[in-house]
Amino acid sequence: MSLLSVRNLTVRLGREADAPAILDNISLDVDPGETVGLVGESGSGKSTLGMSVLRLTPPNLAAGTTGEIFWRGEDILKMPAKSLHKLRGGEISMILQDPMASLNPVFSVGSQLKEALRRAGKPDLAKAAEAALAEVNIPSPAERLRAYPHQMSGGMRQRVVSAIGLAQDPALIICDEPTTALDATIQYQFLDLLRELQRAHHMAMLFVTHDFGVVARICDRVAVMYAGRIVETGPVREIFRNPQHPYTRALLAAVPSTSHALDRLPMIEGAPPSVGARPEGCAFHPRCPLAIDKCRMQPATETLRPGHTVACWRAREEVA
Amino acid sequence: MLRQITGRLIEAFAALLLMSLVIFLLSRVTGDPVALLLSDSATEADRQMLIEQLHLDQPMWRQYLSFVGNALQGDFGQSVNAGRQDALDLVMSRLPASISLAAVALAFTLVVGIAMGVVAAVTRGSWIDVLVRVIALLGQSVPSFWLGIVLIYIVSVKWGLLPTSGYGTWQHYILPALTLGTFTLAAVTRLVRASMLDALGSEYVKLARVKGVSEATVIFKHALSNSLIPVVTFMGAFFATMITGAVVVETVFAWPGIGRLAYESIVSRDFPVIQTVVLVITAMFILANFAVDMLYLAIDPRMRDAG
Repeated sequence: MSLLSVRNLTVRLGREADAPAILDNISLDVDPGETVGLVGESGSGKSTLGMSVLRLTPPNLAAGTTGEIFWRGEDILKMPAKSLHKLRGGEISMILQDPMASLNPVFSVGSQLKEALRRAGKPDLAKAAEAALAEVNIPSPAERLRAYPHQMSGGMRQRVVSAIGLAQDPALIICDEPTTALDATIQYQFLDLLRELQRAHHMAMLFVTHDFGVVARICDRVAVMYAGRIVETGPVREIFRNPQHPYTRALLAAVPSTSHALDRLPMIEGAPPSVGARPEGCAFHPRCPLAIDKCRMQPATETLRPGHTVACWRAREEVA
Repeated sequence: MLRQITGRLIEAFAALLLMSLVIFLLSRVTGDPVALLLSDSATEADRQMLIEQLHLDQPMWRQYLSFVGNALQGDFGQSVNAGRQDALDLVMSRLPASISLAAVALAFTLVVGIAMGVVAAVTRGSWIDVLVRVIALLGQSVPSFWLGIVLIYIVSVKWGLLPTSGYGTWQHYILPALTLGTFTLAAVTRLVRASMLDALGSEYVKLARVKGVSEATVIFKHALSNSLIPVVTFMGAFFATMITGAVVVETVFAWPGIGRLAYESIVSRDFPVIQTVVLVITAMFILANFAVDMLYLAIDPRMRDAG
């Protein structure tokens, strides 16, 4: 059984059936110990998906949420408040995007970390906090516990945020673009650390990113999102070797590579549509180089190979 | 941190000194103090004697120095009114009534204002939020002399619940404190509501929720602690509103504080008393702002490391 199983999740901007949809009929599974990448441009709905899993979307979005999100077989969207509080942090945790903003400026790092450890019922909080900081490679953790967030660098703060996320030994951690705000060199250090931590804690990971380079480094499977829908999913190797959706190909082409140098990286013409103004049919067709008339209708999601699905009229065609 | 405290102390002292110069100069340009002090039947000899007595024949800078010197020794001159009371004694005797009224009003303002601001932010968009915002808008728009008179008319005269004016029991505090605090109450409410909304939408509140802590902890620990920083920043300004408001409110309620003393001494052109009141109020301001700075250092760790 999957750990997390999202079924036909639709999130609209309000309760009305014709309200614009941020997420449109999403289905996605995460197995224990697995890392699933969720890739897409800003505005594709990938962060909303992460917040929906914890039921932390703003009230208007919560009202417009339909579908099911099963956690070990139980629907999170129907969970009573008490189980939900246990779920958050304890079963599913999250690392947020901006380390400069995600720690509370008026409390010490130690107090914010201990708040999570206390919920996990650790007997010696001071010792547990020190160990938690040591685990994320923070030097002299005992002193660092007394520090305030503003006294730390971005990379250091993101480690603290990870330590808080791991404090209650969750089975799944959702990482919402955790490296976007970090310097390139720090990014890779941080990804390696995450991978180590994942192994040590036997966690599954849902990794939200816009960067296929990050996906290649850390993910087992990947789901590509465009304008609120999943357009292609598959194992990372398969997607890199045999991308089917023109949007996936365009994203892959935009990953800088050291093996064949280019003067300029290719880019996707135009901008992703805003939530209220998504085109009919395949939302990518106005920007798609392969678009045909049929693309004005929504293509079905078909399975090419076990685990590899795509929603595109022109998949399976041999395109030169 | 010690460096910051000594820095603030030096600033406070400089501000007080500058204010004494302003007060001194103002008292010299607004008229001849001798004409004010002498009775109508005084002769030219009396006049010369008084000028010598007050050292008015000396250059301005020496006069200022002796003004400061006397002030440092607690000598601010005498009231020109009948009784010739020592100006500082007069002001000091009125000070406790003013401070206690301002303290009651400020406490009421902070407790009720913070509570209303938090409730409005948490129930954003509901009828409670709308109600709180209307109350806050009214509170900032109603002039205090009008509010005071209407409260006296309704609560004291028509219903007979509280004394109309005067000073003495705790019942005497209620109406003046309500009147004095209304404007600040509205300001605190709006400030807390706005900063709570900011905090509730922040990433650190999101992280707190992700941790699974209770909603009460999210609101009162994580969001409120940050929302109070702007309130502390404005405390100096709130205190200023209370003191200037006191002139009106104390007059309306016949409250024996320095606000009413200021009003009375202005009406009777009692310059030594006006000077003393202004200087004492200035000193209170500076003290309040110093206290605010210290409080700020205590609640915001970022300030402790800032230069």
